[in-house]
Amino acid sequence: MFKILKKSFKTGIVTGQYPPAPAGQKFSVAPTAQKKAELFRKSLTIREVDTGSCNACEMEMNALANPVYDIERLGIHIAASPRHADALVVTGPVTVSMEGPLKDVFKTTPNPKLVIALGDCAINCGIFKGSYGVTGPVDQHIPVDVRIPGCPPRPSEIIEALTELRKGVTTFTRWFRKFSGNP
Amino acid sequence: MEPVFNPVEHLQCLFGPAINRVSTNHGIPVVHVPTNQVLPITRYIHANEELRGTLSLLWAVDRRPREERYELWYLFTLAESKDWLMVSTDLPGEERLFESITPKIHAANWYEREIRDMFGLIAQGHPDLRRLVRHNHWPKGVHPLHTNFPWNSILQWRQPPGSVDGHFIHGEGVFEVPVGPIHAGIIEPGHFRFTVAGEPIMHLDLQHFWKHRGVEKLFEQQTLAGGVALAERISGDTTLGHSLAYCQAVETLWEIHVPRRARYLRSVFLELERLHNHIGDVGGICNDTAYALAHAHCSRLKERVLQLNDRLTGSRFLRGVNCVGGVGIDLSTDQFSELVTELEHIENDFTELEQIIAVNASLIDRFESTGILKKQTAWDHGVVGLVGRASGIDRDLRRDRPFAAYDELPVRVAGSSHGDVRARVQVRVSEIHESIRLIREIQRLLPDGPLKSDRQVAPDAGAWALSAVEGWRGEILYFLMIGEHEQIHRCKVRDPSFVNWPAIQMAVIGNIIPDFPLINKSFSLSYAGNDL
Ligand code: SF4
Repeated sequence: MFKILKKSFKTGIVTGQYPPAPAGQKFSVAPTAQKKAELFRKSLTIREVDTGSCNACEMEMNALANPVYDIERLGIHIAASPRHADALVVTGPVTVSMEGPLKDVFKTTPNPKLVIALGDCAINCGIFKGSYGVTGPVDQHIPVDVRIPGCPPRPSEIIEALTELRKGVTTFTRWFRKFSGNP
Repeated sequence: MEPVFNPVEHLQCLFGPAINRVSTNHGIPVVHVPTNQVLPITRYIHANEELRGTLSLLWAVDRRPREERYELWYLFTLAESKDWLMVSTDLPGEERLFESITPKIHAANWYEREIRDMFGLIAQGHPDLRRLVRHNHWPKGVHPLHTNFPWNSILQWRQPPGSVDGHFIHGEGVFEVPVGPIHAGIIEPGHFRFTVAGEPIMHLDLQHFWKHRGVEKLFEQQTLAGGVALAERISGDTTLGHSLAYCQAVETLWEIHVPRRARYLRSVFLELERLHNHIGDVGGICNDTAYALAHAHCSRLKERVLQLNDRLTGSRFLRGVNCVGGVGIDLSTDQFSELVTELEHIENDFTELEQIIAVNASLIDRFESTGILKKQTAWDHGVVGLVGRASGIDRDLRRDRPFAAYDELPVRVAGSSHGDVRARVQVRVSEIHESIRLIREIQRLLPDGPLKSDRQVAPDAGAWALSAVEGWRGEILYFLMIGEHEQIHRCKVRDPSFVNWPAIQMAVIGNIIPDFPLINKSFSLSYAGNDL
């Protein structure tokens, strides 16, 4: 017990100890996406779906949950089932065998929902483009709201994109809108 | 002096006229035999006390359009000497049938099913010829690795995707629990079908290849020099292992002597890759017993290694480090001292953590005797890498077939004989310390010099090379054959996951389903590298 406490004190708080995302915004957020994201206010539940990635994109998604990035502090939560999700994060080109499961997942996710394509593969199939094994990028099968390019995008870049997506949803703006009667 | 035992001469003595000819390619002996002799000869290599060969790789090559034939290749690793021995046979013309060796050599099971799917060559006598790579909704008669199959074909489904055949056990009180392809965590897709009676698992049927992207066919669209980026993207967590194995294969073909400094740097990066994955896995395994504290610490340490990678190479996963002929990134003396200091901190940090983990009784209780993979089972399946070492299979390519700088860097190979989750954790922990030691050792030895050398020869179409790298999971094998104009004619990729997945089906028997995630994580296999 003593050892555990000592270790925790010695380590201190590591959250935020990461280099900032490289300058120059690369991600794109569809204009309607921010509006949709407003509904979820400051809490967003994500479900990750891998449709054929090389698993580096997954590792970066996993990294988001580690103590260094700790996205829970931003109100972002990773759900175990698409039924609990507000947003789907899709990685990888959509393979012939994963096309069906992806569509099923999209169907089971309750409306309204956001779809985030993570990584070059999800956006344009990347290096796997054209292969008999892939049926196309994510937006060929389901509508995509946010695109985060990179191979893989760094966790800091993912956080930046998610922050941009939920911009404008401060308590202040909500108040302001309510009282100005201008939704 | 005892006469040196020569396996090829031994086979020639015994099988004499049954062997067509014997050749050597880049130091690997190849025994060419007629199709009907494959079974007796491979069986002999596998079972003979002096040879005891494990099947390391089995693959086919379509030699069209140059020659009207298919080739089948069998690669064995001999138990004592750890040497390679290859057997090869031809299927001329329209011949589509060959004799299955699976009934005698279990490790051939998935390979022969893969060959059937990818080439349409049928292993006669195979006990389980279900589709492996092509799921049921794939159209009939599609064999993507035929030379005349266009790489960019658009497949027309036969039925809605997602249906798979399973092996079922029927009986009173027997239940089936299907899991996947989409799982609860952030992991890759795969379908697991458990058959249980009460709590214990009676049978597990794996259905993978959801992520099949056609990597081997994509390689055939590349030139030899251009394939590195694709190799890096086969399995992201093994970026460096795969790119290194690919580069080595090309370097063998072009007879490039990689400069010493580049070879040392390759070892450094390979150990860094081992490090971040092992640390992450130790945490992941603890997390699967709901021990979140260890997981938090380990993922913090893993992040430190990834950030270190990023600072040194500009990529958290070491993309773009390897190139054909050497490495594209150098480390200055300052960078190297930064690396070693940071690793020292990480090692101290990790050692403290180890002491906390080691005394946690509830954790050890979950680890011990869970998911036992017996040595015999591991040997029968040809299991490689750390999973094999934890089950008493003493194989490590860094020592047995030194590549990069390992010929000058003796590696202390970790091992255990228990084969349970705990053994796999222990092997990982030893390897973490060993990797850090090796990098420190390299700091002392790192020579100066160029980072890259040029090609020496331009081999003809049909030349081939094999290369092997001990990645963090285990042996990564590449077979590379040149076609016309320096195009790749065939590239067979074997991630260690491909051989270790079937073994997991054996390790779970008798365990309860809640222990499955733990066992699975302790194997920590790649879906992407397996599915290709
Ligand atoms: S974008 Fe890059 S890192 Fe992500 S899945 Fe594709 S190849 Fe892998």
